[in-house]
Amino acid sequence: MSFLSESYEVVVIGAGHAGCEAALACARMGQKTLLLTLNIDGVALMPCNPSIGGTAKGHLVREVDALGGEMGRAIDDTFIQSRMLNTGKGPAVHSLRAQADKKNYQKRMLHALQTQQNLTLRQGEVCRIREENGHVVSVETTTGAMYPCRAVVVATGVYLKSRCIVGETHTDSGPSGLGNAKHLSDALEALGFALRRFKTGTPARVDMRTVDFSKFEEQPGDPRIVPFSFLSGPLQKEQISCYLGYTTPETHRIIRENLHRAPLYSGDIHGVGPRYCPSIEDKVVRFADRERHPLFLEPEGLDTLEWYVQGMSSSMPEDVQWAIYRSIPGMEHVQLTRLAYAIEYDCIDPTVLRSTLESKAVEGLYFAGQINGSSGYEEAAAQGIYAGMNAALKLQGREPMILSRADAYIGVLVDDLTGKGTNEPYRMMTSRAEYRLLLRQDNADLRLTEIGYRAGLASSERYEKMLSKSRDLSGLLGQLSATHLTAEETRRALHDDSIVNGARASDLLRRAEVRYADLAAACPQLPAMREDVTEQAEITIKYEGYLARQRRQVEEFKRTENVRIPENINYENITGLRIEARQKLQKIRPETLGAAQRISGVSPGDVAVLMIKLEQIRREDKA
Amino acid sequence: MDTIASIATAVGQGGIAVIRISGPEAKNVLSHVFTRKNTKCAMKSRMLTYGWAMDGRTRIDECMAVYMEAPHTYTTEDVAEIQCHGGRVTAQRVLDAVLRSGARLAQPGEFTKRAFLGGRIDLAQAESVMDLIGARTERAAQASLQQMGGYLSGRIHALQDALLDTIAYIEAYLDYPDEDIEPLTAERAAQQAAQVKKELEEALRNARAGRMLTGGVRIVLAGSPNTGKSSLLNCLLREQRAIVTAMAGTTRDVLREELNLNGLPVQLIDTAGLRTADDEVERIGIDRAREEVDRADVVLMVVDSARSLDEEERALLRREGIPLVIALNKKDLDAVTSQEELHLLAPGAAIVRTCAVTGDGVDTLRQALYDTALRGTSPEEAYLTSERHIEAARESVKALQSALGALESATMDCAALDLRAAWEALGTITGQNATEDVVDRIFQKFCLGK
Repeated sequence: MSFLSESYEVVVIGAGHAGCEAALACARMGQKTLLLTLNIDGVALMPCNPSIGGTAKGHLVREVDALGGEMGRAIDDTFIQSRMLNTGKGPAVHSLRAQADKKNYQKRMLHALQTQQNLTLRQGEVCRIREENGHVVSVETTTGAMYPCRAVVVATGVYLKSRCIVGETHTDSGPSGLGNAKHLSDALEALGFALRRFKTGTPARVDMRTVDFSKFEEQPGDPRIVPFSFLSGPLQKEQISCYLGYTTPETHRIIRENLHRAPLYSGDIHGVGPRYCPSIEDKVVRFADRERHPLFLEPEGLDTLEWYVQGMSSSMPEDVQWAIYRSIPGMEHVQLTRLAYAIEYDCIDPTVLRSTLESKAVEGLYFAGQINGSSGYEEAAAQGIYAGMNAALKLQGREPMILSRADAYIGVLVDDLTGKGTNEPYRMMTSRAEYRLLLRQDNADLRLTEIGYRAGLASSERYEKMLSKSRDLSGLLGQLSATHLTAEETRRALHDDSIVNGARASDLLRRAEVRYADLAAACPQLPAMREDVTEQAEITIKYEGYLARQRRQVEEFKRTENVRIPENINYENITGLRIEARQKLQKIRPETLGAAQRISGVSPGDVAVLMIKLEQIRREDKA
Repeated sequence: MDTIASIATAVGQGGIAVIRISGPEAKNVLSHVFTRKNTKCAMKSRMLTYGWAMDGRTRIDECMAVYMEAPHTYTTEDVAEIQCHGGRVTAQRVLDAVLRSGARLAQPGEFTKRAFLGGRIDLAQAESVMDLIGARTERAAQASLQQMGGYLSGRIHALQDALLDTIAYIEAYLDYPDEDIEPLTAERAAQQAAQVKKELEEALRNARAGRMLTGGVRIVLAGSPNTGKSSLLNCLLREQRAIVTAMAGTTRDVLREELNLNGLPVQLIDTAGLRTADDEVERIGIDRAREEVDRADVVLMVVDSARSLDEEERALLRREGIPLVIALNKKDLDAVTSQEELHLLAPGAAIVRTCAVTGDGVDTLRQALYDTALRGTSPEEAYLTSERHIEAARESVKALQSALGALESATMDCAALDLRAAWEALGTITGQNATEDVVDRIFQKFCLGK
């Protein structure tokens, strides 16, 4: 028996990393928002690795923050180790990663949700999403509450009919022993969404007292901490180290001898797993010539004895897991506190979504996070804020916020998912971003804060901060090209006594080894300046040629990206298109000519044909 | 819109070939490659004008050109057309010059596409335009895939494959800093990139050699004044053409002659002597001489054996990268400069003793020129034959050059950008797009976690 409950403008289903950002974005943009979760104790849960960021993922966190999201601030408040990865490999791939105190992170996010105006957090399982005339109208919970609403964001993560697998033992449950969602899959199928099974996994947790850390290589945090959030001031705190170790030939022998009991190879797992996050048995089979594989010990938090063993995810039976973990030097006597497991779950094919993450079939119905076939906390948060913002903009009758591949990693992520789809859990990588020299983590605020502010999400404090950084930067760039160092100053700046001529400051900064600080120390005309600004100036000057090239590529890209394809176009009767292209286009139905161009199987000739067709349609419309 | 160009007339031997240029830069491009005979009157829209197609300061061909202002043109854009003498080689050379001046090679059917998009072709014809483009693209793709029984695509695929390995290696290294990937040495990536570059350059040399067989070799005569260059040129031509006097600096401009070298068509270019001149006119001639040397297929340097080498000569001898033949002239006089001395300075050069007065050694010189022109090339192995493919290979080489620079300064993200550009340039031959291939290769090659 259902009853009519309070109505909301937006209902967000699921309070993981996508749901939290979606709900906060909607509420902050003034929409009355309900956030429903299976279990409030599972809000912002990190069921796998205890870290936020990393290559490309760190970029996403920065972008979520620049738009006015929560993830960056939450991790800045709760990290226990911070590292900037990839320094010395070029500015585009510098990536921030922080180890989190998992429990504190959850508490911190819960607090943000609970204190947010316009936002109601409630425990409940959704069993039905109702649409009328192609528009979402309400959601219903298993206990009978019916919430009328104008928009829904589905952010259910890995909980849909999820099944955890340890060897021959299967349990119908969500991650970490939490309950799963039993009814929503059917509700989505009833709305016409085809579902498929994906798979992912997590390693065991171990009791740190039973590990001999002296057999591992210590990996301390960076002495100088760079915060994730553009709002955070300088951070200082005592950090916890992580530890690096390796598997042994013995580990590999145990795995090979027990392969027949591995669900992955016995056929017990049907879901498609990610290539980038293989289980240890997968690594041993696929890379048989490798004598060892690295693994990392990472703390789950400050006040717990449980540590996470990164690189050792597995779905082997329990007895095999004990043998595998104990074959690692330093872990001979290890006690496993939680076993490694694989988890299978339902997700949708994201090509049924628009570039706003709204469903093409049901208006007002948005999808974000792992339900879309992605993986990772950061990928989820990025989709969450994006879907949430677009839902709110739509309710306000405003233009959608479309971030393209040339604007943000979020744009690359959304475009890859909705434009190409994915055959495995999708992970962000810097190599997926064609314009990554422009889409750096250090300039996410300059790229996106204005957009977040105009949408009504980024605060005016954040906006002012970005503007002042931008002003300081152009001022400094002007000063650098107007300032000439004397020969004496140049000698001091370059620490080279053989120099006889002075030079322009910007020309000196072009040299790979010269930093702004060197110039400022030698030349009194150059001002002391905050480091985020001098860093921008250095990158702008040092990589000028490459940046200009990427900007030209972006111009080229935008020419086709800005050409929209009418939704009702029928590819079947466009003469000149090759059969393969017709079929692909008919299935994916790209929104722009640019998106059509990126579909594999669509040739430059097909694109040219399509351009003509679009022009023909335009002229017919005009006539 | 960018500016596009291609040869508009049918491929093959014909009386006249038309090179069509369309786009906002059409006029600009034309002014780079076309010099009017009558430089006084300005070039007017829609007026056919007589002059020369130029490659820098070198005349390629005598031709007519017209410039037509938008919008009343075939494509509705600014259009320029150059009518040169027919035959593939001349038209190609003109097109080459056009492409170097800011236009890019047009896609199949692209002029017609622009004509339609510009509203020049009416709606009823849209279908046939689409059919045409579809068919032409398909045919072009088929043609390149089938070229030489798949040999072309096979070779290019192999190079792409090698590049993809390098890219995947760098990308895995960048995206997975924690992994046990054998630390990427910039040297190793540079080695692989240099190998691909070397092979592409060889392919381009072979392509050039293939063209030389049909289109001719550019041999440039260079050397200090009064070493007997012009006399030697006359010997090779067996007729009096250049003005010969005993006064140094007589040849002030560039003279060019056609010559058949054991069956190889040759354009022989005589230059002003290389020296620092005070005379303004002569200085211009010397500048041109330097340009000619830069673009030569073979440089024939004439050295006066009766004098010691001057600085200009030493500089030319030490220059690397140009195929060089040295005529040690005036063998009838007492030698001051020896063959050994020359060999030390230019170890790769062929040295022939000649006497322009008697004609001694000229036959040997012919053979040396022939050998040097084709040295290191296998024209029969030229698999890059179409202009599109050659252009793509050149692009790729350029990107690889840039990648090598980035690898030297250890900016891996920039190097990856260049390598990808190199890969994609080749992809325009084989019709592939990179991103997914890179990701697939990363996971295929490397064991990665997290």
